Formats: sequence, C-alpha cells, structure tokens
Amino acid sequence: MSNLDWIVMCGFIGFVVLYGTWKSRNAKDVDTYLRAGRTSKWWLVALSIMATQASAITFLSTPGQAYVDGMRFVQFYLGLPIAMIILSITAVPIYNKLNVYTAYEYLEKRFDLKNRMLGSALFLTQRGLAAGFTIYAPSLILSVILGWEMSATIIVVGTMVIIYTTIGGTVAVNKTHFLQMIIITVGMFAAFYVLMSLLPEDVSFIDAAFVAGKMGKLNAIDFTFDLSNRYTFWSGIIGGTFLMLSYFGTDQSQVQRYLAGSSIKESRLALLTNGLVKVPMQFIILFIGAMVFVFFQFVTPPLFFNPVEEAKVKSSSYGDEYRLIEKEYTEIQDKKQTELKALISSIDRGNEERSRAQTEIVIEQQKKANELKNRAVEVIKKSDPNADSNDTNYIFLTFIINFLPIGFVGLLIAAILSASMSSTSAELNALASTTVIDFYKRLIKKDADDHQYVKVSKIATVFWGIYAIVFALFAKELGSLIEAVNILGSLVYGTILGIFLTAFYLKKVTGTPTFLAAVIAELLVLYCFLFTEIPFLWYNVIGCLVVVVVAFLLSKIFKGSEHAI
Amino acid sequence: MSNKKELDKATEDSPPPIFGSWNKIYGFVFFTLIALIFLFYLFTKAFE
Repeated sequence: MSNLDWIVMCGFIGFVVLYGTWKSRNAKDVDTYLRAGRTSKWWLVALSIMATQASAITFLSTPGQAYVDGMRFVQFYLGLPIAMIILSITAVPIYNKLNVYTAYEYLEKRFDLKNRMLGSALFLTQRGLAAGFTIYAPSLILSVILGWEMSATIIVVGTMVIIYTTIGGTVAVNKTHFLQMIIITVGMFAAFYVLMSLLPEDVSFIDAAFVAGKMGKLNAIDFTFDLSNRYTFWSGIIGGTFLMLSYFGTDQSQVQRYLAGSSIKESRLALLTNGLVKVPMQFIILFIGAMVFVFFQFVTPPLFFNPVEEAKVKSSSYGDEYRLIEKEYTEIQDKKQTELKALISSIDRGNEERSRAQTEIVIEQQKKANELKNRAVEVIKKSDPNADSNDTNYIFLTFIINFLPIGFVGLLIAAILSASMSSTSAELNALASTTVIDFYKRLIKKDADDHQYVKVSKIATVFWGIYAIVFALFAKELGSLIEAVNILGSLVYGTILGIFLTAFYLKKVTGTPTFLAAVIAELLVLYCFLFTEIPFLWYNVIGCLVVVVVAFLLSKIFKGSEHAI
Repeated sequence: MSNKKELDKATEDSPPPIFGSWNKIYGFVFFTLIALIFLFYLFTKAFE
C-alpha cells in the first residue's frame, strides 16, 4: 500500500474511533449504556442494524461468491423482508412494552427462569465464538494479501473496538455504525465505478452484463425445488425467513439495536427500512463480483487467488507441475479473450446465431479454464494436505490491491476494517448486556445501583473483547473448530426461534413443555448435522417447527401443572 | 429510562409517518419484495 493509502485508511478508521468515543463519553447510567437511553431515531437504528449484519467476511466473500458461483446467493436474503414485517408486528411491541434490555429477559416474563437461562446461554456460546471469528477472518485475508502480521492486525482492530465499545456502550456502537456504513457504501460504489472504468474501451456496461450472463454469473433467481441445492428461491424464502426471524428477533446483537429506538414507531421503521434496502444492497455487491469476473476475462487472473498457498506450492517439489498448469491456463485465457471480443461484437450487431455459437465456444473455454484450476487445487492439496483450497475470499481483495488507483485502496481497506469493527462492536455490546442483565443482575446482584451495573457492563465488554481476541489469535490452530463456528449459528438459531415463537403465539403453552421441546429440537438438529446431508439453512426450519409442535403437544400433558402468563 | 413520560412515549404505538397505517407499510415492503423477485427473474432471463 502507498503512503496515501495508509493516510486515507488510518484517517477514516481513526476518525470513526475518536468520534464514537467522544460522542458517547457521557453514557453514565445503565439505560444509556445498554440501550442508548431509548432515544435513537429510525434511520440511525436502521444503519446500525445493517452495519451489525455486514461483517468484513461478508464484504470480502460476497463479490468472490458471485465470481465463482454467480449471483444466486442473493436468494439467501429473500426471507429478510418477510422476517422484518413479522418482527415489526410481534417482537417490537412486546419488547418495547415489557421495557426489556435483552431478548432473553422476555422469556422469563413469559415462561420461567430456565427458558431465559437456556436462551441466553445458547446466545453467549454461539456469539462468543462468532465474535472471535469476526476479527480473525478478515485479519487472515489481509495478512495473506497485504503481508500484514496477523496477530498485530487482530490485536490492533480488537483493541480499537474494545476501547470505544467499553467507553460508550450502545451509544458508541450506534454512532460509529453510522459512519462505518457511510464508509462501506462509499467504498463499494467507488469500487464499482473504478471497475467499470477499467473494462476495455470497446466493452460497454451492457456488453459486460451480457458476458457475465452468458457465462452463468447473473443467475439471480432459480425456482427449482432441490433440497441438495443450497441457494434457490425456496431455500431463501422459507429457510431464509426462519433464519432471519431468528437472527433479528432473538439474537441480542440485533435486538439491542432496535431496542435503542425511541418508540415502537422508530424501531419498526428501522427494521422495515432494512427489509427494503438489504436485498438490493446484496444484489449490488454480488453484481460487483460478477463484474470483477468480467474484468478478469480481459485481464488474466492468477491461477489461484491465495498468494501464500501459491508461493508454497511453487517452492515445493510440485512447483514444476503447477507452473505447467499455469502456462496452459494463461494460453486458454488469451484465446478466450479473443473469442469474447468476437462474442461482444456479434451481440452488438444483433447477430443471434453467431452470438449463440460464440457463447458455446467461450463456455467451452471457461470449462477448460475451470478444469485447469481444479487440477491446480489438486496439486496444492498434494503439496500440502492442510492447505486452504478455497480462494473465494481472496478474489475481491486481489482486485482492490492490484487494480484500484492509489487512495481508493486505502478507502476500500478502511471499508473492510469498518465492516469488521461494526460487527464486532455490536457483538461485544450484546455479549456484555446479556452477561450483566441475564446473569449478573438476575442471579448475582439484583439491587445494585446504576453505577455498579455500568461498571460491570464495562468489565464484561473488556472480558468478551479479550476473549474474542484470544480466540482469534489461536483460531488458526483450531482449523476444524472454525468450520464449526460457521455452522454453529444455524445449529442453535432454529431452537431459539422456536422458543420465542411459542412465547409469542401459543399463549397457553407454559415454561416446562417449551424447555423440554427445545432440548428435543436441539438434539434433532444435531442429529441432522451429524448424520444427514440436509443443507444448513433447513436446520432453522426443523429446529423451530419441532419446538413449536412438541411444546404444544407436551403442554397438553403438563396441562394444569403450570399457568400461562 | 426513569421518566414515566418518556417510557410512555417509547411504548406508544403511533401510526407511521407515511401511508396512514402500519398494514399498508407492511404491504408496501412485501410487494417491493415481490417486485424485486420479478425483476431479478427478468434480469436472469435477459442476460442468460
């Protein structure tokens, strides 16, 4: 990175941290510290919700996902607007009227202590590990592409987040989210603008879209019903709705954002704004990925986007074999560029027959290029069986570093770090709230004063921050655990959602049947994960439905022994 | 929030600033989703 890039990056990040710390320095009482005093406007809450969800790994992976697999990943978000509507009708008024600090507090008001403890314990387990991963993943990618020392990146980013989140609590998180979302949005549009200007002069925007479409990268909607296919309209609209309901309705890192709204109206408007904006936003990010793919049709990309793995294989005894594949790959790419220009020319002239023939040639060459890439991955794995064979996360950053002008690189890296910090701060803030409200205040010290709760909240924030940093530092040694962390969300979200839906809608069902149903559902989800091939999005549906149905049936057995609240 | 007036304000279920009712806003969000899915489908087919 050039000096200007460093100045731009440090300027943006430094300003965000100082601004967040300064604006929130007066957060002295527990309500201000954990819920921003319930004074936030809808637009600030909406930006905070979006910033919490947009982690750096999403920001880095999503364009790479479109590059490799096309835009079908957008279907993952189709359930989000439906979930926002349902939560606006149900969760928002309930949480507001009960004046809760955490989502799990509601479970005790509705059921009993054991359901509250189960919900908050599942959240702390899952989100505690995820917070470490949120810092680790982008640090790994930045270290590979930029050569930054990974431990230093983890510690610097983690410490900055701990500082402003500890000092300002929810106020600092919300204020910094506002700026971070601006940086992320400006960064993405800047990347898109530069990307378009870097395409060859005779390739227009429409030409580029046709090239991407003909090569299967603009496959935004797929109506086929196939349980083995991870991203279809059906998995997105059904599984996605359940996942989003659970994430936004029961995950404290999101619930805390809209609890900060100054009224039911402000919280609802924030969620519904997210429902309107999120799907188009993901579409744009994926479209940028598809355009990066088109760009690399005219500029030969690296055979493998992870430079560390590539350098390792080249210096191993498999180096010659790898270089041979690389040479063949470059030749295929050169030929494909000529054929692509012929394809564009036939599209521009409206010659459909010629265009179809050229498309087939280009697709055939793309298949050959993909085969060569698969062979290269096999060589990498032969050279080092523990090598990371997936380079999707490195594609977008490779483009940023190598092709964006000076200044823009700093802006984009600032956007990536902002995304990492925004998610992490919301996670630490939520983990601290749950620790203090659901455990410390409920089980240890019920009648302490505000000053004491704020003090413990700050200690909890620092504790979870250090926990996340330590996990991130050792994450590399825990390869299989990281994979588990990725999937852990879907392993517990369905069950938690089932508990909440039972609480919202089955008024006659009491605590014990719900608790037992949740245990049964969790065991069934674990069975599906360990012994079946069902894609993870469906775990949310299974876990949720099992809790609701079994709780309802068990409530008939327990009838009379407890009273619904 | 210690002030009762502020708590009442926070829990007050007031109408939305546009469209007149929350049901109409929900309908708007839902039909925007339908429109987006339709546009994404057209987009997929147009460049296929």
